[in-house]
This record gives sequence, structure tokens and C-alpha cells, in this order.
Amino acid sequence: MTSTTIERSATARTGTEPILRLANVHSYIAESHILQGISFDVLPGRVTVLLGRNGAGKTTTLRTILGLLPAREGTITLDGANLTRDSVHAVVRRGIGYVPEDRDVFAGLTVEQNLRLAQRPGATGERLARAYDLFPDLKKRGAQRAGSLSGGQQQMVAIARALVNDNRLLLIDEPSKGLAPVVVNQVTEALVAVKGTTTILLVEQNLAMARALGDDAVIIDDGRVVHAGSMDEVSGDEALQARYLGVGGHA
Amino acid sequence: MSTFVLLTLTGLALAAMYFLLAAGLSLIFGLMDVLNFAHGAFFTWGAYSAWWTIDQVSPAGTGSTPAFFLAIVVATVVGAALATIVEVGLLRPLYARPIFQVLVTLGAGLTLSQLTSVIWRPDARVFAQPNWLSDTSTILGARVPNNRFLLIAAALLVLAGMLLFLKKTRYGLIVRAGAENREMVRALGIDVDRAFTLVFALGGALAGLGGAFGAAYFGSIDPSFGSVNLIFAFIVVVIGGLGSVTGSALAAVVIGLAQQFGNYYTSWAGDFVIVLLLAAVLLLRPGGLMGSTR
Amino acid sequence: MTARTVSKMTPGGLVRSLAPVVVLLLLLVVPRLSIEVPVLFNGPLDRPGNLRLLAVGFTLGIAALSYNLLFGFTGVLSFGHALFFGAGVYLPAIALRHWEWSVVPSLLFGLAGGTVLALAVGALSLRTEGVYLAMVTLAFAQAGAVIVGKNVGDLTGGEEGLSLRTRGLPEWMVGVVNTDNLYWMALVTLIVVYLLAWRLVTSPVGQVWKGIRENERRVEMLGLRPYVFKLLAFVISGALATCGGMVYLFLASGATPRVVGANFTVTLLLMVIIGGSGSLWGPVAGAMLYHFLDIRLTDWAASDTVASLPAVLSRPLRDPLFIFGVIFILLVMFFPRGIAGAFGGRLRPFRHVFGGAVARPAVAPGKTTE
Repeated sequence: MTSTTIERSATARTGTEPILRLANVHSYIAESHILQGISFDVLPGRVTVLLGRNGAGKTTTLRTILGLLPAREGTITLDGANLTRDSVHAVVRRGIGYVPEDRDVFAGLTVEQNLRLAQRPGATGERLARAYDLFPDLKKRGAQRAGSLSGGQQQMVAIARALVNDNRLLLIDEPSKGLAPVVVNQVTEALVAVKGTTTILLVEQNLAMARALGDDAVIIDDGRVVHAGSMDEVSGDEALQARYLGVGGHA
Repeated sequence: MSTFVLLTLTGLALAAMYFLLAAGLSLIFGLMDVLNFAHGAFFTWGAYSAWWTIDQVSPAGTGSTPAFFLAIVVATVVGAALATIVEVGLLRPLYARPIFQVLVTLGAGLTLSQLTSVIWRPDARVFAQPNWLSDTSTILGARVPNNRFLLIAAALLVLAGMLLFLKKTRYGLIVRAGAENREMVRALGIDVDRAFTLVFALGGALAGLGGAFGAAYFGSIDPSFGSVNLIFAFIVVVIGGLGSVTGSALAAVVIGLAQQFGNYYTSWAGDFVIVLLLAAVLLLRPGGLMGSTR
Repeated sequence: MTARTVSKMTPGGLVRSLAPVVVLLLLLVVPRLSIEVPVLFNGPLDRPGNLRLLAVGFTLGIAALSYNLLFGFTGVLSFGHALFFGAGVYLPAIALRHWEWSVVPSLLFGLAGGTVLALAVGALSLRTEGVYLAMVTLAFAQAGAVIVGKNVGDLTGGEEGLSLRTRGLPEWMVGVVNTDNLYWMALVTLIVVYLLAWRLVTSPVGQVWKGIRENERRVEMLGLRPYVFKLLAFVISGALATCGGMVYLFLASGATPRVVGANFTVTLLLMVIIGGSGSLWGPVAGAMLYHFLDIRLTDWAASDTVASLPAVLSRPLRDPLFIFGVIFILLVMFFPRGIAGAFGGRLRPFRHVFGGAVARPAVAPGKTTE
């Protein structure tokens, strides 16, 4: 088991077809070359954790997948369909749920309105109910303005917003950022409950959370993939962590 | 006392007209960050298309009641249609260049306003309205033209309708969410561009409606009709807070009353007070009365 | 070897370098040129009507050039610029007529008044940014238009305007026969203003202005206060516009409310866009062209040729503003760099000074197919 996971390469894995594939993706913020040829796969039903230092290009990778930033080179495919040139809403409608780094809940809308807005054609009431079940805290606050919620509750709204549709893939950007440890545990529990029912590409700096959720790990540094393998492998390799994640040796 | 009542009601009617113009401007800015200088032209076109409709339907120089209501519908449709054309044809290609968007709305406003002069010549036209509209009713000793009441009622209806639209409909939610964070709305799989067109068309419709009522209020129209009122509508929008419909309504009342009462004392005091009000609001509360902290 | 060094050595490059000097010399001798230029000008070039046409163009050029210091070079979109041109027209006119001052004190009063006004309006407006600034300045311009139009204090003559009081003026400024003197006055003022502006935009201050236009935050991080530099741009451009207005007063023999309203600022913006906001000379060319077309189209529209056209064509042609509106839209959509952008590669002496100032179109967000 361990030997097969170690042998996995970033781009071509045997067995299952990837849900998401990035091949040699380049993107820019203004004139800064941020992603310099990123390639990796996300396999169905698994949680792939995107690791790397601040500024390595993790958030940019998610934004480029969504089309919020144009990929100037390379291709991005979801279930084999090329979405590199599609507009943001078209990309998302192929079945992507996005939980952004800063949550970006709509402060002036109620919790309920935030979730209803996220429902795409075909979204069922049952899924909405399940999203509420996952976060009992939100259930009783449906009529409350999202702007009046605590940071943790806002994070729950942001995650719930990605769960109200029958998505192929969730892109989740640093769900633990700026949250108290108790709340991080709550969020982790919720995501563990989601895990297995859907495919997730997770950006996370908090190694404990990454370990709890991750199956596969992709490490990027300076806009390039420097390591791809299993999460267990990264967890056990302190040298790797020290080199690319800025943990261990020099925190 | 009767002067006070007259000035108050006339001021409120003026406020109603400014609101019809400002509500669309405010929504457009809130969602799209576009300062729409073409809005005055939609207003002018509303006025001219209303006048033209009445001229076609009624015998010369008179305005029948059905003709007036038909004129209002035509003005609203014309406003919406022009706004859609401007948004899709001129603004959409320039979304990456905000300054040029402002410039192109300026150009569109100038061109469309002048087009009324090209078609109907630059002279002022008398707006023929049904007698019951130009007749006066006596309230507390003040003789107030009936079209003032109609204008106020229309604005109240529009205000209620817009609040319902924004609170209860999906497109209303998209507009409000988009005003907060356009990118996130896109990331939810929503085609924000369609919402842009919708908001622009809605704003154009309200401006067209306002133009028709404005024509009834002033009794005559000319090609500069919209641009004169646009400046006051801008002031209303800023004082009310960009993107806030309720704020626009409140600010419109303040501006309408200040202008009427001020100009009653000297011909210029009202206009001048408004500018001072604007400067004061911007310096003390840069987001406007009901503005969010954007 | 760069393209520029090559062009300096070729005869073609020399011609291009000399072109502005030749144009300038030609303009200086126009009042002595009794040549007929058919279609473009009525009668010989040195006819007072033609001289006035050109000279008014110069004063509008000054206004457009000064406006562009703010708009094109600093990136501040103000709708209040007409106020300062208007101050240059009205303040000396009032001093001359109502207080019967002589010319020099009246002009000094105008310049001081315009500058103080720019300082006050700028200091208040620049506390806001972007569209807010546009609207605040628009409101101030409107206030100015109200004061002038409603004849506050019985000074401005309201909608009628104020005619120039000629009794206190020196001989050489008065009467149609002296139009050539006014022409030279306008041209020399334009040259002085141009050189001043050129000196400014190439100075360190000009660099900061460009920095603010490109990225205000970065300027802040350098430890500079953008507000101060923007205010400086606002005041200088206001004062220069006032100078243009003062010359205009003598050419127009009076003041009319047309020169204060927001519409006049929109006209200035039009001139800048026609000419190109990336250079100093572009707006001047734009203003000249605008004024020329404005006057000539009106004449031309009244001609029999136009009258004989079907109404679909003749009516729009009779309305220069409509035509300018259409031109404006087309320029904004397809030629955002204007005339100067089109010739930017040709006129070397300007390009190497202002090459860096040519507006770069922003990179389109969303997915592109580059």
C-alpha cells in the first residue's frame, strides 16, 4: 500500500481517471508571473491538499481553476472537459463549489439568502437541509444577517454555500484561517463528514487539519509543483516540511 | 401656511422625480461601479417619447387621459430599451477599463440627448397633459397641481416595488450580493453580466418613467432636460449613499425640499444650499447617509 | 542600436524633429499671411475672423492642456475644471466693468482668484477619490454655474453675460483691427503654458504625478503624500486654465455663462480624448480641431449643399454636438489614445519625452485568448 502511494507521480496515476487535471498552467496577477507551469491531478472521492509557503501560489491555483484569473498557458480539465477558456460562471456550473480564503459571505444578506443565492438550477431542498444539518449553529440563524455572525459561523456559511449543490469538486481555501482552535475543530469535523461523499481540493496551512482530511498532497513552491504524493508521506517527512512548508526546523 | 404646504408638496414632487432618476443610478453604481452619465439622456428620451406619443394620439395641443397613460408606458419602454443598448453595445466591451466606461456613458449621454434635438429640433416643447392633471386641488389653502400628487404616488410605488424586488426576488439578491462582491457572485456560478444588463434596463425604465412625469411636472421639455436634472440626481445618489435605494429616497426628499424652500427666498439659494449639503455630507460621512463602508 | 538613435541620424528623423518648430514659426506669421485656404478658411488667412477662430482655439488648447495635467498625467477625473477657466473669464471682466480697474490689476485679480478657487475646491474635493471626486467637482461646477447664471450679487449679468469694458484697455487690445495682437497674445500664452507644463511633467513632481496615476498606494509606500501632489496638480492646472480664460475674455469681448458649466468641462474632456490624453500636445491639437469643427460645421451646415441633402443626413449635420458625441464614442471605444496616439511614433521629440506617459490599456480580466 505504502509503496504504491509513494510511486504515484503528479501527472499520470494508474487506475482511475482524475476529476481535475492541471497541465502546465501559467497565470499572472497584473504582470507578476505567479503560476509557472503547474501540473497535478485530483482523483475522485479523495481529498487532495495543496501545501506550500505563503505566496507560493496556492490561492492563485484555485482562482485560476475557477477562471477568476486567466490561465495564459496550459490546460485545466474537469472530467476530461477543457474549461481553460470558459467564463467563471460556466466553469462553476460544471459542478464546482468554492469556499474562498476570506469566506466572502454576503454580509448584507441573511444566512438563508446566502445559501439560496448559491443554489444553482437543479439544487434540491434536501441538499440545503443536509447542509443545515451539518452546521446546527446555522439552522437557528437562517434569518440573521451574515455580516453579524462570528468568524467561525461565517466560515460555516461559506462551506454550506458550497454544499447546497450536487458538486463534482469542492475548492476550499484555508478554512482554518483566523479561527479559534475550538472552531477549527468544529469545521474539521464538518469537513470530515463531507469527505468521501465528494472530491475536495483543499488549501491548508494548518498541518493538523491537513492530516485529518488529506489523502493526497501536492506541494508547490514559487509557482511550481515540487512534490506530489500521499499526505501520510508528507506528514512523516520532516525534512520535506522544513524545506517547503517553513515548519519544523524554522517555524 | 398655504405657502408652506405648497412648497412642501412641490418639493416632495420634485423629490419624487429625482428619486426616479437616482434609484437607477444608485443601483447601477452599486452593482457595476459605473457612474452613468447617460442616465440623463434616458430621462430626456422618456420625456420626448411621452410627448411624442401624446402628440400622435391626441388632437394637437390636448392630452387625453388614455394618451397620457399610454405615454407613460412608452416612456418606460423607451428608457429600458435605450439603456439595454448602451449597456450591451458600449459598456460591455469596456469592462476592463473603468475610466473609459465613464467616458463612454458621457459620450452616449451627449449623443442621445442631441439626437432629440436632431429629430425634434432644439426648441422647447409644451407637454400637453389631461386637464385633471394640470388642474389644482386646494389643500390647507394651497392650490397644488394634481400632477404633483401623481408623481409622488408613482415614486412611492416604485420605491415599494424596488424594495420588494431587492428583498424577495432571486435577481434582487444577485444585485445586492453583486454590489458587495461581484467576484464571489460569479464564483457561485451566476452570470453577473446578465444582472448588469437587467439593472441597467431597470434603471433606464425608471429614468424614462421619471422623464414622462418630469415633463408633466415642468409642463415643457427641451433637449437639455435630462442633463440639468442629472446633476441633482447625482447629488441625491451621493448623499443617499451609492447603492442604497432607501438612502436615495431619503436624500431625494432632503434635496427636493431644500431646493424648493431655498429657491422660494431667492432664485439661487436652493441650488446653492444643495451643493453645500453635498460638500458637508462628503466630508463628514463619505459613504453617504445610508452608505455601506465600501 | 535602438530605433531612436537610428531615426536621429536619418534625414527623416531630422525633419520630424523640426516639424514642431516649423509649425510654430508658421503659426507666428499667420497674421501676416494673406493666403486663401479654400474650404478650411473663409477668405484670406489673416482676416480677423480667421485669426479669432485660431486664437480662440489656442485658449481652448490651454484649457485642455491644463485639464490633461490633472486627467491624463495624474489620473484625477474632475468635472470642475470649467470653474477655473470661467474664473479667468469672469473675474477680470467684473473688475474691469464694475470696479473700473485697469487691465493689469484686473488680470492679476483674475489669476489670484482662479488660483485660490482651485486651491479651495481642490483641497475639499481631493479628500474623496474616483467617482466621488467626479461628482463633488461636478457639484462645485454646478454651484459656479448657478452663481453666474442667476446673476448673484448683480455682478455676472446672468444669462446675458457681461460684455468687456473697453474704455480702460490699452489701444492695441481694442477693436477688430487689432485682432492680430490678440492672436499673438493667445499664441504666446499657449507657448508659455506649454513650456511650463512640459517643465513640470518632466520634473520629479511630474514623475510623482505619473506614479499616482499608475498606483497611488505605491507612491504612499515611498513615504510621499499623494494628496499634496494631487492638490498641487489641481491648483497648477486650475491656475493655467485661468490664464486661458483671461485671454479668451479679450477674444470673445465678454463673458457668457457657457464657459462655467459642467458642459464646458465635458467639452474639455472631449478635446483631450480627441487629441489623446497621453501627451501634452495632443489635447492642444484636440482643442484646435474641436473648435475648428465646431465653428466650421455650423457654417457648413447652414450652406446650400447641406440644405439640399435629405433630412436624414442634413439634420444630424446641423448639430455639431451630435456629431462630436458620435466621434467621442468611437474614439473611446476604438482609439482611446486619440490623435497623439496615432502620431505618437512619428513625432520623435515629443515621444522620447512623453513616451512613458502614453496610457497603457489595462489587461482585461477574465479569460482571454492571448
